[in-house]
Amino acid sequence: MGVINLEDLQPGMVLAEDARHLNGRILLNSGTELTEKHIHIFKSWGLMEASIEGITKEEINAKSIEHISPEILKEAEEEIRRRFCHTELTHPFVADLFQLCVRLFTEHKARSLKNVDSRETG
Amino acid sequence: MWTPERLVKEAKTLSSLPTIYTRLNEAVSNPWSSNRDIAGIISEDAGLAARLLRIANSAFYGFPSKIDTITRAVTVIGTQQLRDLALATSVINMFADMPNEVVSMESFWQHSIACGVTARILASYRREPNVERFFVAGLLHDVGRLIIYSKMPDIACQALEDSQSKNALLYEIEKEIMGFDHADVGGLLLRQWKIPENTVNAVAFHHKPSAIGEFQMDVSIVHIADIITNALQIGSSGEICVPSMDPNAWMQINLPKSILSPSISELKRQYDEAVKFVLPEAA
Repeated sequence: MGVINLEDLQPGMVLAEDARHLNGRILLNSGTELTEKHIHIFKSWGLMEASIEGITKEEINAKSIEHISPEILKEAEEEIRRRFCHTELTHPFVADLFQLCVRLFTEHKARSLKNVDSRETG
Repeated sequence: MWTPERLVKEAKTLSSLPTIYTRLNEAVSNPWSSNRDIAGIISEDAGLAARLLRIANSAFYGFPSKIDTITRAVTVIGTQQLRDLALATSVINMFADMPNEVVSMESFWQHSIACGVTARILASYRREPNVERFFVAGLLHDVGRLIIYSKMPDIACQALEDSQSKNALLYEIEKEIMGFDHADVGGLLLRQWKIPENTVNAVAFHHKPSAIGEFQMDVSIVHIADIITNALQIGSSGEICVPSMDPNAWMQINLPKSILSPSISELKRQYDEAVKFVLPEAA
Protein backbone atom coordinates (compact mmCIF):
# COMPACT_ATOMS: atom_id res chain seq x y z
CA MET A 1 0.00 0.00 0.00
CA GLY A 2 1.24 3.51 -0.76
CA VAL A 3 0.03 7.07 -1.16
CA ILE A 4 0.24 7.90 -4.85
CA ASN A 5 0.06 11.36 -6.46
CA LEU A 6 -2.94 12.05 -8.64
CA GLU A 7 -0.87 12.23 -11.84
CA ASP A 8 0.47 8.71 -11.27
CA LEU A 9 -2.96 7.10 -10.72
CA GLN A 10 -4.04 4.65 -13.38
CA PRO A 11 -7.26 2.77 -14.17
CA GLY A 12 -7.19 -0.68 -12.59
CA MET A 13 -5.48 0.44 -9.37
CA VAL A 14 -7.39 -0.46 -6.20
CA LEU A 15 -8.03 2.04 -3.39
CA ALA A 16 -6.50 0.89 -0.09
CA GLU A 17 -8.32 3.61 1.87
CA ASP A 18 -11.33 5.82 1.27
CA ALA A 19 -10.50 8.67 -1.10
CA ARG A 20 -11.43 11.83 0.77
CA HIS A 21 -11.74 15.42 -0.29
CA LEU A 22 -9.80 18.00 1.78
CA ASN A 23 -13.05 18.82 3.60
CA GLY A 24 -13.39 15.20 4.71
CA ARG A 25 -16.14 14.11 2.33
CA ILE A 26 -15.68 10.57 0.99
CA LEU A 27 -15.48 10.53 -2.80
CA LEU A 28 -14.90 6.80 -3.24
CA ASN A 29 -14.77 3.85 -0.83
CA SER A 30 -11.73 1.70 -0.20
CA GLY A 31 -11.55 -1.47 -2.27
CA THR A 32 -12.86 0.24 -5.40
CA GLU A 33 -11.02 -0.42 -8.64
CA LEU A 34 -10.29 2.95 -10.29
CA THR A 35 -11.64 3.76 -13.72
CA GLU A 36 -10.70 6.62 -16.09
CA LYS A 37 -13.86 8.41 -14.94
CA HIS A 38 -12.96 8.18 -11.23
CA ILE A 39 -9.57 9.75 -11.91
CA HIS A 40 -11.25 12.51 -13.88
CA ILE A 41 -13.60 13.20 -10.96
CA PHE A 42 -10.66 13.28 -8.53
CA LYS A 43 -9.06 15.88 -10.79
CA SER A 44 -12.12 18.11 -10.89
CA TRP A 45 -12.54 17.86 -7.11
CA GLY A 46 -8.92 18.84 -6.57
CA LEU A 47 -7.93 15.57 -4.88
CA MET A 48 -4.13 15.35 -4.91
CA GLU A 49 -3.34 11.82 -3.79
CA ALA A 50 -4.90 8.46 -3.03
CA SER A 51 -3.86 5.40 -1.10
CA ILE A 52 -3.44 2.40 -3.42
CA GLU A 53 -3.16 -1.37 -2.78
CA GLY A 54 -0.03 -3.32 -3.63
CA ILE A 55 2.28 -0.52 -4.77
CA THR A 56 4.52 2.00 -3.01
CA LYS A 57 5.57 5.49 -3.93
CA GLU A 58 9.17 4.30 -4.25
CA GLU A 59 8.12 1.77 -6.91
CA ILE A 60 6.33 4.52 -8.83
CA ASN A 61 9.41 6.75 -8.60
CA ALA A 62 11.69 3.90 -9.70
CA LYS A 63 9.40 3.16 -12.66
CA SER A 64 9.40 6.78 -13.80
CA ILE A 65 13.19 6.80 -14.10
CA GLU A 66 13.84 3.21 -15.25
CA HIS A 67 14.11 4.20 -18.92
CA ILE A 68 16.83 6.76 -18.14
CA SER A 69 20.45 5.81 -18.70
CA PRO A 70 22.38 5.34 -15.44
CA GLU A 71 25.04 7.88 -16.49
CA ILE A 72 22.49 10.68 -16.98
CA LEU A 73 20.75 9.73 -13.74
CA LYS A 74 24.04 9.83 -11.86
CA GLU A 75 24.95 13.21 -13.36
CA ALA A 76 21.50 14.58 -12.44
CA GLU A 77 21.68 13.33 -8.87
CA GLU A 78 25.16 14.75 -8.35
CA GLU A 79 24.20 18.16 -9.74
CA ILE A 80 20.92 18.38 -7.79
CA ARG A 81 22.59 17.10 -4.62
CA ARG A 82 25.18 19.89 -4.91
CA ARG A 83 22.39 22.48 -5.15
CA PHE A 84 20.50 20.92 -2.22
CA CYS A 85 23.56 20.64 0.07
CA HIS A 86 22.33 23.33 2.49
CA THR A 87 18.91 21.90 3.14
CA GLU A 88 17.77 18.80 5.00
CA LEU A 89 17.19 16.06 2.40
CA THR A 90 15.57 13.78 4.95
CA HIS A 91 12.57 16.11 5.31
CA PRO A 92 9.70 14.48 3.35
CA PHE A 93 8.85 17.63 1.40
CA VAL A 94 12.48 18.36 0.50
CA ALA A 95 12.95 14.71 -0.50
CA ASP A 96 10.02 14.98 -2.93
CA LEU A 97 11.28 18.29 -4.31
CA PHE A 98 14.69 16.66 -4.82
CA GLN A 99 13.20 13.68 -6.72
CA LEU A 100 11.17 16.05 -8.86
CA CYS A 101 14.23 18.14 -9.74
CA VAL A 102 16.17 14.99 -10.68
CA ARG A 103 13.29 13.92 -12.91
CA LEU A 104 13.10 17.36 -14.59
CA PHE A 105 16.88 17.47 -15.04
CA THR A 106 16.97 14.06 -16.77
CA GLU A 107 14.00 14.94 -18.98
CA HIS A 108 15.70 18.18 -19.97
CA LYS A 109 18.92 16.30 -20.68
CA ALA A 110 17.13 13.62 -22.70
CA ARG A 111 15.41 16.31 -24.77
CA SER A 112 18.62 18.18 -25.55
CA LEU A 113 20.34 14.91 -26.52
CA LYS A 114 17.43 14.12 -28.81
CA ASN A 115 17.76 17.54 -30.45
CA VAL A 116 21.45 16.90 -31.11
CA ASP A 117 20.58 13.49 -32.61
CA SER A 118 17.92 14.85 -34.92
CA ARG A 119 20.22 17.63 -36.04
CA GLU A 120 22.96 15.12 -36.85
CA THR A 121 20.70 12.75 -38.76
CA GLY A 122 18.57 15.46 -40.36
CA MET B 1 30.54 51.86 6.43
CA TRP B 2 27.36 50.62 4.77
CA THR B 3 24.28 49.76 6.80
CA PRO B 4 20.81 48.77 5.57
CA GLU B 5 19.58 52.21 6.71
CA ARG B 6 22.19 54.08 4.67
CA LEU B 7 21.57 51.90 1.59
CA VAL B 8 17.84 52.60 1.63
CA LYS B 9 18.40 56.29 2.33
CA GLU B 10 20.77 56.66 -0.62
CA ALA B 11 18.52 54.80 -3.05
CA LYS B 12 16.78 58.09 -3.84
CA THR B 13 14.73 57.01 -6.85
CA LEU B 14 13.19 54.34 -4.61
CA SER B 15 12.30 56.63 -1.73
CA SER B 16 8.54 56.51 -2.22
CA LEU B 17 5.88 54.68 -4.19
CA PRO B 18 4.00 56.34 -7.10
CA THR B 19 1.25 58.65 -5.75
CA ILE B 20 -1.43 56.69 -7.59
CA TYR B 21 -0.69 53.70 -5.36
CA THR B 22 -0.96 55.84 -2.20
CA ARG B 23 -4.29 57.25 -3.35
CA LEU B 24 -5.55 53.80 -4.29
CA ASN B 25 -4.52 52.49 -0.89
CA GLU B 26 -6.36 55.33 0.89
CA ALA B 27 -9.49 54.69 -1.14
CA VAL B 28 -9.38 50.94 -0.46
CA SER B 29 -8.98 51.51 3.29
CA ASN B 30 -11.79 54.04 3.40
CA PRO B 31 -15.10 52.28 4.13
CA TRP B 32 -17.00 55.13 2.45
CA SER B 33 -15.42 54.73 -0.95
CA SER B 34 -17.30 52.78 -3.61
CA ASN B 35 -16.08 50.46 -6.36
CA ARG B 36 -16.61 53.34 -8.77
CA ASP B 37 -14.26 55.62 -6.80
CA ILE B 38 -11.57 52.96 -6.97
CA ALA B 39 -12.15 52.27 -10.66
CA GLY B 40 -11.94 56.06 -11.21
CA ILE B 41 -8.48 56.29 -9.64
CA ILE B 42 -7.16 53.33 -11.64
CA SER B 43 -8.56 54.71 -14.90
CA GLU B 44 -6.54 57.92 -14.51
CA ASP B 45 -3.43 55.90 -15.33
CA ALA B 46 -4.14 54.36 -18.73
CA GLY B 47 -1.06 52.12 -18.62
CA LEU B 48 -2.00 50.72 -15.23
CA ALA B 49 -5.62 50.20 -16.27
CA ALA B 50 -4.51 48.28 -19.37
CA ARG B 51 -2.12 46.09 -17.35
CA LEU B 52 -4.81 45.27 -14.80
CA LEU B 53 -7.31 44.31 -17.50
CA ARG B 54 -4.70 42.07 -19.03
CA ILE B 55 -4.20 40.30 -15.70
CA ALA B 56 -7.96 40.00 -15.15
CA ASN B 57 -8.22 38.15 -18.48
CA SER B 58 -5.19 35.90 -17.90
CA ALA B 59 -4.75 32.36 -16.57
CA PHE B 60 -4.39 33.94 -13.11
CA TYR B 61 -8.16 33.94 -12.94
CA GLY B 62 -9.51 31.96 -15.88
CA PHE B 63 -12.86 33.78 -15.86
CA PRO B 64 -15.28 32.33 -18.42
CA SER B 65 -16.15 35.67 -20.04
CA LYS B 66 -14.03 38.64 -21.03
CA ILE B 67 -13.59 41.44 -18.48
CA ASP B 68 -13.48 44.64 -20.49
CA THR B 69 -13.91 47.47 -17.98
CA ILE B 70 -12.05 48.41 -14.82
CA THR B 71 -15.33 48.71 -12.90
CA ARG B 72 -16.09 45.09 -13.75
CA ALA B 73 -12.55 44.04 -12.76
CA VAL B 74 -12.95 45.78 -9.37
CA THR B 75 -16.20 43.89 -8.82
CA VAL B 76 -15.00 40.40 -9.72
CA ILE B 77 -11.41 40.58 -8.44
CA GLY B 78 -11.88 42.73 -5.34
CA THR B 79 -10.52 46.08 -4.23
CA GLN B 80 -7.64 44.94 -2.00
CA GLN B 81 -6.61 42.38 -4.59
CA LEU B 82 -6.57 44.98 -7.35
CA ARG B 83 -4.59 47.41 -5.18
CA ASP B 84 -1.97 44.68 -4.62
CA LEU B 85 -1.80 43.85 -8.32
CA ALA B 86 -1.40 47.58 -9.05
CA LEU B 87 1.58 47.60 -6.68
CA ALA B 88 3.08 44.48 -8.28
CA THR B 89 2.94 45.89 -11.79
CA SER B 90 4.11 49.42 -10.95
CA VAL B 91 7.00 48.58 -8.70
CA ILE B 92 9.20 47.08 -11.43
CA ASN B 93 9.36 50.43 -13.24
CA MET B 94 11.00 51.96 -10.20
CA PHE B 95 13.95 49.61 -10.65
CA ALA B 96 14.43 50.42 -14.33
CA ASP B 97 17.87 51.99 -13.75
CA MET B 98 19.43 49.08 -11.90
CA PRO B 99 22.76 47.90 -13.28
CA ASN B 100 23.03 44.67 -15.23
CA GLU B 101 26.68 44.01 -14.35
CA VAL B 102 26.37 41.99 -11.16
CA VAL B 103 23.34 39.84 -12.02
CA SER B 104 21.24 40.01 -15.19
CA MET B 105 18.07 41.96 -14.42
CA GLU B 106 16.09 39.62 -16.63
CA SER B 107 17.18 36.61 -14.61
CA PHE B 108 16.55 38.50 -11.35
CA TRP B 109 12.95 39.29 -12.26
CA GLN B 110 12.34 35.80 -13.63
CA HIS B 111 13.25 34.42 -10.22
CA SER B 112 11.11 37.05 -8.47
CA ILE B 113 8.05 36.50 -10.68
CA ALA B 114 8.29 32.71 -10.35
CA CYS B 115 8.50 33.06 -6.57
CA GLY B 116 5.50 35.43 -6.55
CA VAL B 117 3.42 33.10 -8.71
CA THR B 118 4.39 30.08 -6.57
CA ALA B 119 3.51 31.94 -3.35
CA ARG B 120 0.16 32.87 -4.89
CA ILE B 121 -0.52 29.23 -5.85
CA LEU B 122 0.34 27.94 -2.35
CA ALA B 123 -1.93 30.62 -0.83
CA SER B 124 -4.78 29.62 -3.12
CA TYR B 125 -4.42 25.94 -2.09
CA ARG B 126 -4.83 27.22 1.46
CA ARG B 127 -7.91 29.19 0.37
CA GLU B 128 -6.40 32.44 1.66
CA PRO B 129 -8.84 35.31 1.03
CA ASN B 130 -6.40 37.63 -0.77
CA VAL B 131 -3.85 35.66 -2.81
CA GLU B 132 -2.45 38.78 -4.55
CA ARG B 133 -0.84 39.86 -1.28
CA PHE B 134 1.29 36.71 -1.48
CA PHE B 135 2.13 37.43 -5.12
CA VAL B 136 3.45 40.87 -4.10
CA ALA B 137 5.48 39.48 -1.19
CA GLY B 138 7.05 36.81 -3.43
CA LEU B 139 7.73 39.29 -6.20
CA LEU B 140 9.53 41.68 -3.84
CA HIS B 141 11.28 39.19 -1.56
CA ASP B 142 14.76 39.80 -3.03
CA VAL B 143 14.57 43.54 -3.94
CA GLY B 144 17.13 44.28 -1.23
CA ARG B 145 19.69 42.64 -3.54
CA LEU B 146 19.00 45.23 -6.25
CA ILE B 147 19.96 48.05 -3.87
CA ILE B 148 23.08 46.17 -2.77
CA TYR B 149 24.04 45.50 -6.40
CA SER B 150 23.63 49.14 -7.38
CA LYS B 151 25.24 50.81 -4.33
CA MET B 152 28.01 48.38 -3.47
CA PRO B 153 28.78 46.46 -6.69
CA ASP B 154 32.36 45.52 -5.71
CA ILE B 155 31.33 43.89 -2.45
CA ALA B 156 28.35 42.27 -4.17
CA CYS B 157 30.63 40.73 -6.82
CA GLN B 158 32.98 39.52 -4.11
CA ALA B 159 30.04 37.87 -2.30
CA LEU B 160 28.86 36.19 -5.51
CA GLU B 161 32.35 34.86 -6.29
CA ASP B 162 32.77 33.56 -2.75
CA SER B 163 29.43 31.78 -2.82
CA GLN B 164 30.27 30.17 -6.16
CA SER B 165 33.75 29.04 -5.20
CA LYS B 166 32.59 27.61 -1.86
CA ASN B 167 29.20 26.37 -3.10
CA ALA B 168 27.79 28.37 -0.19
CA LEU B 169 24.53 30.22 0.33
CA LEU B 170 24.78 33.81 -0.88
CA TYR B 171 22.69 35.24 1.97
CA GLU B 172 25.08 33.72 4.49
CA ILE B 173 28.11 35.15 2.66
CA GLU B 174 26.38 38.56 2.59
CA LYS B 175 26.00 38.41 6.33
CA GLU B 176 29.63 37.36 6.73
CA ILE B 177 31.14 40.21 4.72
CA MET B 178 28.62 43.00 5.25
CA GLY B 179 27.12 42.16 8.62
CA PHE B 180 23.59 42.17 7.17
CA ASP B 181 21.83 40.51 4.23
CA HIS B 182 19.50 41.44 1.36
CA ALA B 183 16.41 40.53 3.41
CA ASP B 184 17.29 43.23 5.99
CA VAL B 185 17.61 45.82 3.22
CA GLY B 186 14.42 44.74 1.43
CA GLY B 187 12.38 44.78 4.63
CA LEU B 188 13.58 48.28 5.45
CA LEU B 189 12.73 49.57 1.97
CA LEU B 190 9.20 48.15 2.15
CA ARG B 191 8.70 49.60 5.61
CA GLN B 192 9.67 53.02 4.25
CA TRP B 193 7.07 52.53 1.52
CA LYS B 194 4.48 51.90 4.26
CA ILE B 195 3.58 48.51 2.83
CA PRO B 196 1.46 46.41 5.27
CA GLU B 197 3.47 44.84 8.09
CA ASN B 198 2.74 41.23 7.00
CA THR B 199 4.42 41.83 3.66
CA VAL B 200 7.34 43.72 5.23
CA ASN B 201 7.96 40.76 7.54
CA ALA B 202 7.58 38.24 4.73
CA VAL B 203 10.43 40.00 2.90
CA ALA B 204 12.60 40.73 5.94
CA PHE B 205 12.40 37.18 7.35
CA HIS B 206 12.10 35.00 4.25
CA HIS B 207 15.32 33.15 5.12
CA LYS B 208 14.55 32.80 8.85
CA PRO B 209 10.77 32.61 9.27
CA SER B 210 10.96 31.35 12.86
CA ALA B 211 12.84 34.49 13.98
CA ILE B 212 9.70 36.67 13.89
CA GLY B 213 8.56 34.98 17.09
CA GLU B 214 4.89 34.75 16.34
CA PHE B 215 3.75 32.72 13.37
CA GLN B 216 2.80 34.50 10.14
CA MET B 217 1.44 32.79 7.05
CA ASP B 218 2.96 35.34 4.64
CA VAL B 219 6.55 34.65 5.58
CA SER B 220 6.12 30.86 5.68
CA ILE B 221 4.62 30.81 2.21
CA VAL B 222 7.30 33.09 0.72
CA HIS B 223 10.01 30.97 2.40
CA ILE B 224 8.70 27.75 0.80
CA ALA B 225 7.99 29.43 -2.56
CA ASP B 226 11.59 30.73 -2.66
CA ILE B 227 12.90 27.21 -2.03
CA ILE B 228 10.75 25.71 -4.79
CA THR B 229 11.76 28.44 -7.25
CA ASN B 230 15.47 28.07 -6.48
CA ALA B 231 15.18 24.28 -6.81
CA LEU B 232 13.55 24.64 -10.24
CA GLN B 233 16.17 27.22 -11.30
CA ILE B 234 13.75 29.66 -12.90
CA GLY B 235 16.00 32.72 -13.19
CA SER B 236 18.23 33.65 -10.26
CA SER B 237 18.82 36.60 -7.99
CA GLY B 238 22.40 35.42 -7.44
CA GLU B 239 21.82 32.35 -5.30
CA ILE B 240 23.24 29.13 -6.78
CA CYS B 241 22.02 26.70 -4.11
CA VAL B 242 18.63 25.91 -2.62
CA PRO B 243 18.19 27.91 0.61
CA SER B 244 17.98 25.95 3.83
CA MET B 245 14.39 25.04 4.74
CA ASP B 246 12.82 25.81 8.11
CA PRO B 247 10.61 22.75 8.90
CA ASN B 248 8.36 24.98 11.04
CA ALA B 249 7.36 27.02 8.01
CA TRP B 250 6.35 23.87 6.13
CA MET B 251 4.42 22.63 9.15
CA GLN B 252 2.55 25.93 9.51
CA ILE B 253 1.47 26.01 5.89
CA ASN B 254 -0.20 22.69 6.66
CA LEU B 255 -0.62 21.42 3.10
CA PRO B 256 0.03 17.82 2.00
CA LYS B 257 3.34 17.40 0.16
CA SER B 258 1.40 16.03 -2.79
CA ILE B 259 0.53 19.63 -3.74
CA LEU B 260 4.07 19.97 -5.07
CA SER B 261 3.52 18.57 -8.54
CA PRO B 262 0.13 20.19 -9.20
CA SER B 263 1.66 23.49 -7.98
CA ILE B 264 4.47 23.18 -10.47
CA SER B 265 2.07 22.42 -13.34
CA GLU B 266 0.07 25.47 -12.30
CA LEU B 267 3.28 27.55 -12.14
CA LYS B 268 4.12 26.53 -15.72
CA ARG B 269 0.63 27.63 -16.79
CA GLN B 270 0.74 31.04 -15.08
CA TYR B 271 4.40 31.99 -15.29
CA ASP B 272 4.64 33.11 -18.95
CA GLU B 273 1.63 35.36 -18.62
CA ALA B 274 2.89 36.81 -15.36
CA VAL B 275 6.19 37.68 -17.08
CA LYS B 276 4.24 39.47 -19.81
CA PHE B 277 2.30 41.70 -17.47
CA VAL B 278 5.08 42.38 -15.02
CA LEU B 279 7.82 42.90 -17.61
CA PRO B 280 5.92 44.12 -20.69
CA GLU B 281 9.05 45.31 -22.52
CA ALA B 282 10.76 41.92 -22.24
CA ALA B 283 7.85 40.14 -23.95
